Amino acid sequence: MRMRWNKKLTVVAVFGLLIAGTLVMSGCTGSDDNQLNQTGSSTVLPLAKAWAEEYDGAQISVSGGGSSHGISALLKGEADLADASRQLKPEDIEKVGGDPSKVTDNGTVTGPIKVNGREVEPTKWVVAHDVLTVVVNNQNDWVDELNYTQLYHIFTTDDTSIYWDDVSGLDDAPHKKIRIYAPDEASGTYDYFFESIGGLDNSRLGHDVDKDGKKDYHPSADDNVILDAIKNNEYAIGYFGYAYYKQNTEKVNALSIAEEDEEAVPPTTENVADYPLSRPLHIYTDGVPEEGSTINDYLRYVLSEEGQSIVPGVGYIKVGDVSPGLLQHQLDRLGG
Amino acid sequence: MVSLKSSSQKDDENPFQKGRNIKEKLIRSVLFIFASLAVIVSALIIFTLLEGSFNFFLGPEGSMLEFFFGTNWMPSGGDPSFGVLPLLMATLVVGGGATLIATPIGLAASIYLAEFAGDKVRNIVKPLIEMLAGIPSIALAYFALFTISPLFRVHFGASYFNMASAMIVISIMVIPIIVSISDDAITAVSSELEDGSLALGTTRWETTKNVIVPSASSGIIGSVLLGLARAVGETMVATLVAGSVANLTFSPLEEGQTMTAYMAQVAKGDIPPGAAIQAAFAVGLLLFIITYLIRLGGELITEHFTGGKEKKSHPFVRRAKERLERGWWRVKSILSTERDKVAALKNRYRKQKMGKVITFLCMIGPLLFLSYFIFNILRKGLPGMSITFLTSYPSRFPDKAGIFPVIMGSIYLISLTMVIAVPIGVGAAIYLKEFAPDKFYSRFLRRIIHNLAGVPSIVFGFIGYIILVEMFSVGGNLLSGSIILAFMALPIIEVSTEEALESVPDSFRDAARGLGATKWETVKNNVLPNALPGIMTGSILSLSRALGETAPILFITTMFAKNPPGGIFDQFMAMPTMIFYWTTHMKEEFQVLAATTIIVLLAILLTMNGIAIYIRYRTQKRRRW
Repeated sequence: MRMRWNKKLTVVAVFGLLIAGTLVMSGCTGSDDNQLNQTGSSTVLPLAKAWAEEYDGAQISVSGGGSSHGISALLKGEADLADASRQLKPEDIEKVGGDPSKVTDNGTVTGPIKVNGREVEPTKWVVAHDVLTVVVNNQNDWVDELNYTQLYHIFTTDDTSIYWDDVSGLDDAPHKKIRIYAPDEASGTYDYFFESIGGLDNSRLGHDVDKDGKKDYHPSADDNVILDAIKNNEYAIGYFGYAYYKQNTEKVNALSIAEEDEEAVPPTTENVADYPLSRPLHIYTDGVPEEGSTINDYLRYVLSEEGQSIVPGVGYIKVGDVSPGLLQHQLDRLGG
Repeated sequence: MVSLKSSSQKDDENPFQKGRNIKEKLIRSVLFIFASLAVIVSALIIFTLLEGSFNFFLGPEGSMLEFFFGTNWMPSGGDPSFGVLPLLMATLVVGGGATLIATPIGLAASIYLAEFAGDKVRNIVKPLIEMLAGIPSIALAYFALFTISPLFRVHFGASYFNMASAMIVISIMVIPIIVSISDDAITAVSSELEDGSLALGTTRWETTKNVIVPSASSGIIGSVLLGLARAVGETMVATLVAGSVANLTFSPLEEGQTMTAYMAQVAKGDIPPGAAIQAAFAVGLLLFIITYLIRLGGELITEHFTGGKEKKSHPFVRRAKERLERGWWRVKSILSTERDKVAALKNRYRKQKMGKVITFLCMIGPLLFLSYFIFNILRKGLPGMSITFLTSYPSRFPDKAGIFPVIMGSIYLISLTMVIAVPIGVGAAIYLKEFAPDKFYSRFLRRIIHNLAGVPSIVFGFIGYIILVEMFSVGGNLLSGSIILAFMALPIIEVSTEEALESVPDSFRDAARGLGATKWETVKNNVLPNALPGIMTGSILSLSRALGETAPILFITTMFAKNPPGGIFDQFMAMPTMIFYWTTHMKEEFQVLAATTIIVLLAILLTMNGIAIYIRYRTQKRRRW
């Protein structure tokens, strides 16, 4: 009926130890100088994870959540580094109650911004380049390059091409429906693709719901699905990040892309400066980090030869391959 | 606080020992606050959901008319549209479909268990079915994506993501709920009815079909509704398997986004800021209301059924009697038309045999699923198991990757959850069971705590994130994560503690009070020690449930760090979210590591449950009253 004393003691001791353990753990709080919080774009995420893994100068915890989430976390002081696949926009500042007029066209600010009573100055660092790859099935022998006009007719509902031989310049292609497998509207890749090819919001596939069902369009949030479908479908076309294509080069064919009236360029690491569907990836910090600070050391590592050497392995392109000048300029700002 | 000053309280006061009285009062107030925390949390949840929804509806993009009647859900882009019908439809197809599958199987299984199975079979099967309920949904989602979904793709031409596979796997989660409540309902049917029917010469199958199931029908319907609420609130399976494109379609072979999946998409950050995130509040509110109403219906029906024993005049009992009479009539008609005909008798026994076989198969089915699931996960995940895997960090190279900081993150998270949830849950239960007068407020408190158990986990995660991280700037760290999990674990701890306190005979209390102990002294020295094993069992079980939860911490966990967290304000990784990230990783090697992580998680859960069962077993053996 009554528990013997030693039993009771054991029970109390077990609970006590657990509680004590947790308290001790909480005793050494996380305000460690060597600890950085990095959050934001899921496009930058694999890269940020790779740097965090290789860099030994600090404990970096990396999470996703999207570019907007990252920037707002930085503005509110919740993160030290914000990953962004796009530039800072006035709306980002507006959302946290700052003065949006201070945002410039190239995604920086003209001066410190007051957010919740503390000043923050989002500062942009270009850390790599992301390249989109348009891919078709391996058996597709009628197209190996496309220009922006052709892409526009394939991927928008404006004067749209339903069959492969409808596409201007592809008269010899088979009279088969174009089957489109592409990232869905929620993804940053989707926005970036349509901004590039000039698709207006209301003509973008997936946006303008194709009520008569003429277009054979299958959006997906999962690159695996897109790849799988294009691999198995002779008349399929789609697009995703170069990072993903690089791991699956033998399964699908990548197309060369031409901007208006320009030469078509195949998506390779060497050609990136000329390849049209390429965008910079950013890390935002609060001001230019002081020399000797953990953030400064980390950014210098990221832009160093060692840090940049990881980039191609993840599937993106080094900053120096696109604009060596920018790389040097950024290193100079950091005091290196 | 008015309720504290009841008349019975005055009798408790001892004028010669002021110090003891003050202590008594103090403890009583603390326990009262613990019990009332659930009210504050519930109010915060509802307020936050309402406020966010109002902001959305009154905002430039939101419109109530469009939300409820629009047929297009397209949250991003230049001209977003927010018609919730496609999300609602997918929720209906997945949740409703799962319940439709689970209902006959679960009911048949509980019939076999209650009517045909011997004690031996019951003692083996019931714990196994409970085990099925304990599998974390992320583990089942993994199984659905890589094992069940391919079947639908190959044989039925389903799309990569399809609602059918989500339906199947969620039905597996619903079956244990239906079995355990229906089994209770069926065994609670008075043996007089059963014996009477059998004595008239019916077969056991006829008695079950015509007498027992009809009179247990309220409990059965209640179980189905509770199962439906669970299915509608399920997040991880819907997210990983059913897809993330909102389609207005009935076809389970197609992709569809449920309400929970949309909220998970917000958690992952795949949604542009602005109206699309505001819309999540409205979706969350709708989900909250739907699951609340379903559960309320289920609870009301079940309560009437159990309450029927005491309140004889209750209309429900009358209805049950009428139903029974109808059943009797059917029994009589069977007997009168077919009596003495040997052939007919043979036929009736053949029917009984068939019924027995079918219900047996329905009972064995979920167990086969369980064993195939475990076999499959072991086969997929064991190749990834190694010392490196257990000691390394989640590297980007699969052969170097491990989960040491992830395991530690989960252990810290659950320890901190325990430190928060156990005192509050136990305190609330002590207040409600030992101190509170059975007045409106304590009944209300109990109801609120039970309702907390029904809030879908993704709503918990979303609101927890909004309140703790966005409003109070606690940050996305261990503390926030464990507060969220603590309030999810709280209801189970509270209920099991109350049961444990209930099991201590009142004579213990009377004896102590008779010797002059105060209420609290009685509780502390005489009641709690005897209820401790029960409290521990319940706490461990609820914490093991919390350990496997993905959706509530999806908004908060980190995806990469080399070391385990060093303090409660540090960011952390946890096993369920790691499984989620690795399952969606594009490299197949990481999908293997997801299965390996599932094995580790299941091993930890099994150990925790083992300890709980051992404690329960020990006490049952040692109990001498």
